[in-house]
Amino acid sequence: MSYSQGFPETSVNNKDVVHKKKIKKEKLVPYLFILPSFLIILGFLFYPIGTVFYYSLQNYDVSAPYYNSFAGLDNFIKIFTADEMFIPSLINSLKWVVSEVGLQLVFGMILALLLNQTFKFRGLARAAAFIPWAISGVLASVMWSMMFNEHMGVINDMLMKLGIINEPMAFLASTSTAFGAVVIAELWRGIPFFAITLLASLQSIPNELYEAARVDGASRWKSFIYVTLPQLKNTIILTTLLRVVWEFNNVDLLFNLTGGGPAHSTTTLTMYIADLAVHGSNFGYGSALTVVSFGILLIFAILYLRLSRYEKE
Amino acid sequence: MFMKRGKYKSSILAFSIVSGLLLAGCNGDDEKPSASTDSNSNSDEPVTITFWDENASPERTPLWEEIIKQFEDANPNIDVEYVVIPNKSAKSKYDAAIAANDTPDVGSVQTTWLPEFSIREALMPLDEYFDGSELKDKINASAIEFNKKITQDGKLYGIPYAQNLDTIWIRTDWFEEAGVKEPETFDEFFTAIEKMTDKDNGRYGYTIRGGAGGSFQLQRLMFAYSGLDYFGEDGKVNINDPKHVEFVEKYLSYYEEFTPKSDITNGYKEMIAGFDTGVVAMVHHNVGSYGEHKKSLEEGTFKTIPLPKTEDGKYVAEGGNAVNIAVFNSTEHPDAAWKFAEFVNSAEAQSLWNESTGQIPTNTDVLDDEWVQNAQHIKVAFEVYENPETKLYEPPFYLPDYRSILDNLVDPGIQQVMSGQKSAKDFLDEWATAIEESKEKYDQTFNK
Repeated sequence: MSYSQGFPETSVNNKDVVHKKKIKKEKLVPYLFILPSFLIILGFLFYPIGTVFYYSLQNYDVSAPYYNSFAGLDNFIKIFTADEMFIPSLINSLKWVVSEVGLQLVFGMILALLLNQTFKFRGLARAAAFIPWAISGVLASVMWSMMFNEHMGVINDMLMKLGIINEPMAFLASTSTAFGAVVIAELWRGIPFFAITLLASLQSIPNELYEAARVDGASRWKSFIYVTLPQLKNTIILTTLLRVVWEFNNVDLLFNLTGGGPAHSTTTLTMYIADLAVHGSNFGYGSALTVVSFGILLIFAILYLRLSRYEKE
Repeated sequence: MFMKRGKYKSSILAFSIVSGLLLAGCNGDDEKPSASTDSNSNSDEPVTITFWDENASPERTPLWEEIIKQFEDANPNIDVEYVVIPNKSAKSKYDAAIAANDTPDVGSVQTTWLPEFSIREALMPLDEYFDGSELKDKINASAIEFNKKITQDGKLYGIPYAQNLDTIWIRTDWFEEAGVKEPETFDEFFTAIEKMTDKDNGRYGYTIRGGAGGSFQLQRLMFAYSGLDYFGEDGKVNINDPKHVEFVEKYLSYYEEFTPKSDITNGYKEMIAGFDTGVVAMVHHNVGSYGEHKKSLEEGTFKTIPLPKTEDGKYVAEGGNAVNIAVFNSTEHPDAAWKFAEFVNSAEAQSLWNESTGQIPTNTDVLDDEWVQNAQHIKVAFEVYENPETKLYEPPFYLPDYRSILDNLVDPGIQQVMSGQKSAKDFLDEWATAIEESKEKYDQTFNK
């Protein structure tokens, strides 16, 4: 890429030196422009990442500084050999990510297709569909915890009236229902993200493609499979990747609705790290776990982008 | 096959997405130390001291503001900057501040934190100030002795301004209606839970704290039942003593049968709400929740009773259930900071504070106040603390991971026993092992 693009060279016949100086200056200017962003990225992205890697090799607990020391790979060895919470929480993370991203994509797609149709009050319907995305995590968790409540929750009330259950259930308090309940709450919040991005992408598909498909006798289903989906491919790949990383790191709803409980049934890897590092102030071990989850996500992201042939026709 | 450039590009894209999002949850705690305004020792020159409130709430903040106002009126040259910290994050805020040497001049500090903070050299010994003050003969001597006893060097690092005691709150109107005796022993306690449960009318005999903070409740009940010390004479922890196994098995088996299903995730708020909204007949908390009950329940329909007695008829209480004013080593105005600590412990300030929060004053001058004489919950607290037979046991607060063992191992463990995933014995064995390992490491470090 040439950085002098957009800066047309002047054709004044001055002395050679002045001309050269000017060119030099013009070449420098773009670097000056990107310098602030570069410094911000360096300070706020690479420096913190570096410290996480550094602390992962230390015994670092702010509440017990007299134990602090260099740990080498001890933290990592402990994660893979002695930590009874690591594998169960990683499995919970996988269950969480797969169910969230899968369901959000399917429902987001359905919603986007519906909102792409022409009907009365379409603008209003679109705006309403995106509301959950605009609601803060804390507010959403308070709302859902009230809805799931055993004594006064609207969900119990509805299920009882419909005759599906006989007595109120404590959805968030049972090891068999807590995970599903939180999945539903997060699903409600995540669908609009896919709907928004897929809808934007749907609108950019040229109508001629559908017309051509129709001329060739394609059914609605076939034009969805052979026209819509291939056109949405890049959007789907990128949004699912973003969402996988987001959901993997997501902790607000889990934290507020169940706190990882009951009995660790909703403790994902990120929830476990939050408990250890933020509550237990064991930043050394917490950093090591963060490095491991960073590695898992990085490998996943690279493989995903390659295998899905992102940006390739 | 992929082109080399594409390969590179997708790796960079992946790296930046992952690292950017991963960091979204990271917080830097590297705060730089800040110097106080001036560093004089002349008491006439104006100074500003910072005070941290470790348990801020809409009820407590106005009280502190009032006490600070009175203090500033009496000491016009000292300006107190009041900083509110919610109870949940107080310990981690102090931890970060100590690590960054950015502590306040003076702060409200729980007794359980004193050993750890003093080992980390964050606190200033107050022995000299205290011995030279009028407070010396007024503050509850046993509370002062306790504070000295739990620190490594036996010095006084905090002056207790309020004490607390775990008790059971009961609905007296329901008990009268059902003709059930108020429980004094554990047998009576369990019988009362059974008799007071009326599921058809949506009433339960008791509520278990299964969520955050459940470990404290369980530990206090276990020791109240057994009357044991925290460590046996052989130095082994008594957590998994057969008596405790027997108690936990019975106590947690009452979940769902005589207590609400949602108990497994009950935190403080939910538990108190269960009592205050007329769902449960008894709740185990402390005298400090009096204010909450008073707001929701009619006078005369509730009261507090001590935790049930041991088999041989003794009350048991956990030592160190108090909150203190401590002066931090980093202060540049130790005299002004001490003046504030002294003021908070004056009869006037303690009376205002403890009457409104429902806690137990430590200044003997307050004990004659009318409100102390008339408060049923305070009387119960004195009945327990002043009983010569009462046994105080001391948990190892000094272990740096004492709190995180309770939060991260014991709290979820209680839920595992409640949901039938783990036996009470296995749970208590794990708890005991964690405490013992932590103690061994601690003893090695400090060559005990």
